[in-house]
Amino acid sequence: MRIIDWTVLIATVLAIVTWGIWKTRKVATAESYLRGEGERFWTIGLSIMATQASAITFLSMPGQAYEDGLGFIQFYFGLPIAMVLLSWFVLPIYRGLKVYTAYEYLETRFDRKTRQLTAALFLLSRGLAAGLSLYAPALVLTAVLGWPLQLTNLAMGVLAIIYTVSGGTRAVSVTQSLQMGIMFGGMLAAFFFVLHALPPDVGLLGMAKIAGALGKMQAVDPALHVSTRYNLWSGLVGGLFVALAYFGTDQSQVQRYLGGTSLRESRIGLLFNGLIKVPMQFLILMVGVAVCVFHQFERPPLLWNGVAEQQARAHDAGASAKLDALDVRLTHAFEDKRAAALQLLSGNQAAKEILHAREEDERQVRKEARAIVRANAPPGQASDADSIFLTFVLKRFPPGLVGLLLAVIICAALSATASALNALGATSVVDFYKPWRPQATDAQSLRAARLLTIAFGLIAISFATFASLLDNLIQAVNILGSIFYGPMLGVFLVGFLFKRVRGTAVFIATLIAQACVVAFWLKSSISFLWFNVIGCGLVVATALLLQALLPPGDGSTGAAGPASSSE
Amino acid sequence: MQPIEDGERALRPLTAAVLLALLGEIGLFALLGWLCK
Repeated sequence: MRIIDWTVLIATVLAIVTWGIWKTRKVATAESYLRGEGERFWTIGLSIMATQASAITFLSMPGQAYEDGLGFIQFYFGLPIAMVLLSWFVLPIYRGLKVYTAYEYLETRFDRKTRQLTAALFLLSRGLAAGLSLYAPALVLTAVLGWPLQLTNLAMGVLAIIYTVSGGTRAVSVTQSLQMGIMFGGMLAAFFFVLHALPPDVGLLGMAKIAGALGKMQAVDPALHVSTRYNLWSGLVGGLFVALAYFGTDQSQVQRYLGGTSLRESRIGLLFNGLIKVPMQFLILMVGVAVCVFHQFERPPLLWNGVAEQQARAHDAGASAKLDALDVRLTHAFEDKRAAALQLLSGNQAAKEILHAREEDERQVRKEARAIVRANAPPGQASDADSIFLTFVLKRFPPGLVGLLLAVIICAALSATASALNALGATSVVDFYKPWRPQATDAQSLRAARLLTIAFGLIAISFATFASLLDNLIQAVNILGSIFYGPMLGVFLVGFLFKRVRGTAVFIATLIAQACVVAFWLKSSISFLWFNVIGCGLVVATALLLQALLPPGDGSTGAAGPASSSE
Repeated sequence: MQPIEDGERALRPLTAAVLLALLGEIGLFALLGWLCK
């Protein structure tokens, strides 16, 4: 990395952090620390987007589009619908009750044990995910740039802790607005740079033509196949469920929109996210498609994670020879593809078939090469596909833009970590500390919130530090998230939709559903993506059944419902 | 107690815009895929 890149990176990241700390220097009450001080809709919208956009989004999604095209965009089709439902029906309930956390609603609606059980499920799942939001980008930065893994974890973790503890919710929102601006600007600059780097006679239309021939432009698959992970229907229905659970019950998101100056601002902030999200994800995926088209004219490397490749070659001479042979095959496939791409640009439609066939050859070569590296390199490597974009940035981008793109990745890591720490601190104070110490003063609550935020930050850094000792870590944490999200969404759905179900029924139902989901995970071969639906459905069905069996009047219930949507 | 402030009047056109934008995007992506086949 050049000095100008280091300067852009450090100046951007530190300027945002300093701005966040300075802007929130007057935060001195638990109220302002936990809830913020009244944000306008654009800050809320940007903050919501920045919370969801982790660093791995910017590292992994272009790589995914490079390999599989635009199909992943369908996963986001349910999100705008979820934003509409939440802003119309759920947000008025939260705002009407003046809650700090989503789980407070559950005590008003059911009872304290249900509230604390759900809050505990959140602390467990988000606490683990906070460590991953540091570890995952650090792993790729280490693989591609050679940065020390533990120092990268520590530096990002400490920065996030400093400004989150300093200004609480408002510091997170203020910094996220700027971070989102950097992320959006950086990806836009990246897209135009890649477009500019294509041969002069290609342009936007030529890029679309070649990407289409490679099968990368098929964004919408209307066929209803259960076996394909992303199609129009799984995106609309499955994506809706995931978005409802994430934005409606995960405190790291709920906290972002509860801090609006009014119900109206919070609602518009959510809808703003619904309007911008799909185009933004499309832009990120298009960067990957553009990189793929670029590599129809410039030979791509056999593997993108060069460190893992070198380790595999050093480990076994036989593996190195096999990789060399695959490299020759890749060169042949690339030369055929380049000739076909040029023919296609000059109007020869028959070249499409050659391009498509050689693309499949290249895919097969890379698959074999990755299998060799997996078998011969030490475990805990960054995935090869996740390394595509960063490797491309470092090799091809001009000075200054490299620093900006690295700032995008660090900003995304900080924003996701800060909102998670903020929510973990708030939930542990509001849902556990305050009920345990109701006589605590405002100053004591503020101190507890800050100390708990630091504690969760240190846990996240420790988890990230030792994460490399675990195999399949990313998958493990994704599975854990899916295990908890389903029952959490189920509790809230029962609260919103089935007024006759009371606290004891839903509490027992949650425990049963959670145990069943864990059993499914341990004993069955069901894909973990289905755990959300199973967990949610089990809570609803079991709670309804138990309420019918339990004697009337058992358990507690509050009066909170859509009717109480006043401010 | 403050009066009920729901902002629903302002919300309706924005809600319509969000849903229409989604429909438009899905249509546009499908068209793009068809044109670039």
